[in-house]
Amino acid sequence: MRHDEPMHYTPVLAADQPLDDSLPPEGADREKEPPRDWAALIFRPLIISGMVTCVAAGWIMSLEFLLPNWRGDYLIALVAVVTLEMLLMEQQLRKRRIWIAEPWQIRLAQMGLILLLLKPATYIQRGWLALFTDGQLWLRQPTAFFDGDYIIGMVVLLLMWLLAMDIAGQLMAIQDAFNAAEREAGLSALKERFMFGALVLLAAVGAQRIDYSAIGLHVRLSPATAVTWLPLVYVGLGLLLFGQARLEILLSGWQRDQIPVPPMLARRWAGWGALFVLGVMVVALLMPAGDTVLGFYLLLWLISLAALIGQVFVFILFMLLGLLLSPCLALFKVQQMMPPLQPQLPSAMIEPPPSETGPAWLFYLKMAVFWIVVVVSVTLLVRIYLRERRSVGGWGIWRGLVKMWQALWAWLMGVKERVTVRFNRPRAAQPITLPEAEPGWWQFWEARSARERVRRFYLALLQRAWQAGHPRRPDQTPSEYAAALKPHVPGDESALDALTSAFVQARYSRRDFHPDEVGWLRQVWQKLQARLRRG
Amino acid sequence: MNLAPILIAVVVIAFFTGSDSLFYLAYVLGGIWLVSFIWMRQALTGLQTERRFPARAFHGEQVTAELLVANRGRWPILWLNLHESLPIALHSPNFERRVVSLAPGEKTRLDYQLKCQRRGYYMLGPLSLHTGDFFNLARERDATVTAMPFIVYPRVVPLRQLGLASQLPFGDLSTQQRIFEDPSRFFGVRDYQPGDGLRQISWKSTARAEHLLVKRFQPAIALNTLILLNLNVEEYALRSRAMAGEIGIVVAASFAAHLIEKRQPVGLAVLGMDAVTEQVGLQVIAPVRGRDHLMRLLETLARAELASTHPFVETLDQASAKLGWGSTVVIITPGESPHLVEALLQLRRRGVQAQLIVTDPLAAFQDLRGRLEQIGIPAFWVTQEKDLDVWR
Repeated sequence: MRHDEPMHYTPVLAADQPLDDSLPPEGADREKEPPRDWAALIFRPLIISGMVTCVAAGWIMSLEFLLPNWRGDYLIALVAVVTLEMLLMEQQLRKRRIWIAEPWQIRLAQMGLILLLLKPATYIQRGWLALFTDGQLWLRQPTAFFDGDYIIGMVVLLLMWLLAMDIAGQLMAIQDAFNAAEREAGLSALKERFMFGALVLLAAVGAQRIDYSAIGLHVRLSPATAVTWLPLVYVGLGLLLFGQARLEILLSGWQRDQIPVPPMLARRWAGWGALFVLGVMVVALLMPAGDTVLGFYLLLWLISLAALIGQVFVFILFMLLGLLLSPCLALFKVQQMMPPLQPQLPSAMIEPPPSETGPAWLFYLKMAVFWIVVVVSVTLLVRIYLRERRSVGGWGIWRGLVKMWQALWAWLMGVKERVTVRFNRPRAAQPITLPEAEPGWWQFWEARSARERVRRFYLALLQRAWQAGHPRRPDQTPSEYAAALKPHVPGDESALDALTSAFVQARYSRRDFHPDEVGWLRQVWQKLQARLRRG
Repeated sequence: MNLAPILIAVVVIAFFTGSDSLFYLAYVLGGIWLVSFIWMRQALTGLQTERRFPARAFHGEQVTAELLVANRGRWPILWLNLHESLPIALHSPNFERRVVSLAPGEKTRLDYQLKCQRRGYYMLGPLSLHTGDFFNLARERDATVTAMPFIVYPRVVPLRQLGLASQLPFGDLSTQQRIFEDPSRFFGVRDYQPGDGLRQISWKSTARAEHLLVKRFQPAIALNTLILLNLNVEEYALRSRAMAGEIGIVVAASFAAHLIEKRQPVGLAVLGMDAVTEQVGLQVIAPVRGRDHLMRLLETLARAELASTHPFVETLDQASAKLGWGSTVVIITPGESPHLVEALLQLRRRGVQAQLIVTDPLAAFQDLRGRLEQIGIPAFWVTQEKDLDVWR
């Protein structure tokens, strides 16, 4: 015996809609192995890498500003890739709890490889021929290997590497904190790093606003460039980083209290956080800026926005008009414009290598020794790197990417299947029904054949009779119905008989109607319609 | 995180330098703060919760309670810390906690088990809800959902035969005391004996057998019974009061269930405290038949608690005042109280059949039973549930 009350319902500050109980219980899948959360795995390294890249980009752009002949764009991409790889590696090391000497082997191998790769990267803009030429020069002058580009790249990479390591370390310190005080200390340290990076970046941005050609220093208002957005991106990423730090603080508290946390929380935190910050940034970018009255800019912005909307409307209008008139364009022969001729440039002359002093075999021996050393070193570094990288399971990201691609492919195939099924589905037979409303002119225009027009006259008459309160029963034949309808069309009985007879012939025989006869039947139908309308 | 100083500094510097970057930075920081503030104000307004569980359960049952949480609002709830307070007697630990995340329109369900090992009147909840934003910019929000009552009935031991006696002639239960016969329960015929009344003669049987036969009826007694439970803590020994009190409640519930099953009217008088109303004293429920009445009795017993109140003997008259001649009183008490035997004798003289059940294992039961036997009142010593076997 048991007394079950149906439901205890308690709305909390909100509306009253019944809740569906067809839900799996929260934490029902807790016992299962949590899925590998690629968002949580890669999100933090991406944030830190992005922040560090912003700082690096600021300084690289400033250097380009100061040294007009030097281009360091490749370094920005390199910093992004290197720091991301390094952070992912650190994450894997941490996950596998490898704390002792091994990480340094991995890091050294990693850094050695990166510095080696940096050298060819410096030739991306100079060209591979220059690399070949310089490669021969390094035989005679090994110090030539360390040219200005390479040293700048090394310094930038090493500094950014250290900065990224420091930020990641502070985030991990929050994660590993034993108590609230340690967490607060970790958060403060993270703020300090953030502020340091911001100041470095702002200094780099500010360096571009100084006119060095003048005697005295003064601020030069430059138009908005990529440098303008860098602090914005940096702050946005920093906010996301603080969001992650906040998540870590909450998670550690919940873990201490042994409160179960859903595995998707980290993913949602990352996704919603990114959406939130990105949305605010997009709105911010639409706002006016500068050192004038903000309201004026805002007003101008609103006016321009209204104008833009108007332009969009006009564009859509003209596009539709153009689409309507596009068949007419076929009447005109449009002459294809010829592309402008490109001037033939003389092919670059390859400078022959400078002549070597001494016997030729010595030159080849030196070259062979040099390249053997280089190849052995590179092979060794790659071997160490790959071995250690594989041992810490760092290829999960690639597996994740493969899985993502497989999921995307499966989704695309599913869409294709749905589309195929949708378009190959046999159309259901349309039920033949009487027209519910009086046929319009377009329906008569549509009924091109005389038989069809006669049939429509009769059906329209049925519709009118139904509206007048004399509906035809389903079991009545046309003749029976005509007999039943005659009392309601006094004086027009013969007309009714004629239209009924014409309908029967049009519907059940192969007789064709002369247009004059159709015209006469039309008059008959109109007469009957008028009679029924009068009641 | 306090964003205000940074925001003010950025705005001031932006106005002084006219830097686009700083203006945009100010917009972003201001926008983040503003949206976080609005978000937190709106976050819990669309939240709905619902607790689903049977309001009552029997002793030994395991009940699943469901807590449904839905976000009907337009703002997502990034994280929501749920803390459901629960009675330690039903759930260990005495709470259920979970962190959930709810998108707009999303629902989630939390299940937890309630092990009903102890009778009582419990409250499930309150449920505390706590949420916050991404960056700890806005004040974190709390809400509370009120607790709901949940009753665990006392353990009911099935008794097949109680052996309670009554002096009323027309009842439903057959008895071995063939004093009164119920004319509605035809049993058979026997030969006429001198002294039998003419109304007792079965004329149809007499005609068929060609000698006088008399109708026989099944003897019956009525059990218009009142169960009187003493939960006055002053009369319990300190060492055994918890166990003796609980066993008394089990005995009372078992008797009530058995008699109601036999379609007998049963009343209940509890001297103690109602855990819900916190009223201390004597609570009397008049004898009534029916399963609904049993639920009422069990609920009363579920809510009963030991309390310091009037002496039990003083309330005997008040409790049994409305009982008629031939009724039965089952008195459940921890042991002998001053003037208890005299009070029972008074009941007996009023025509009320009394039975005494002693529940305290430390009570001087044998002496008490000897004195009660002298006045014809049966007494039983039930200190654990297996002692109820005497009635099984």
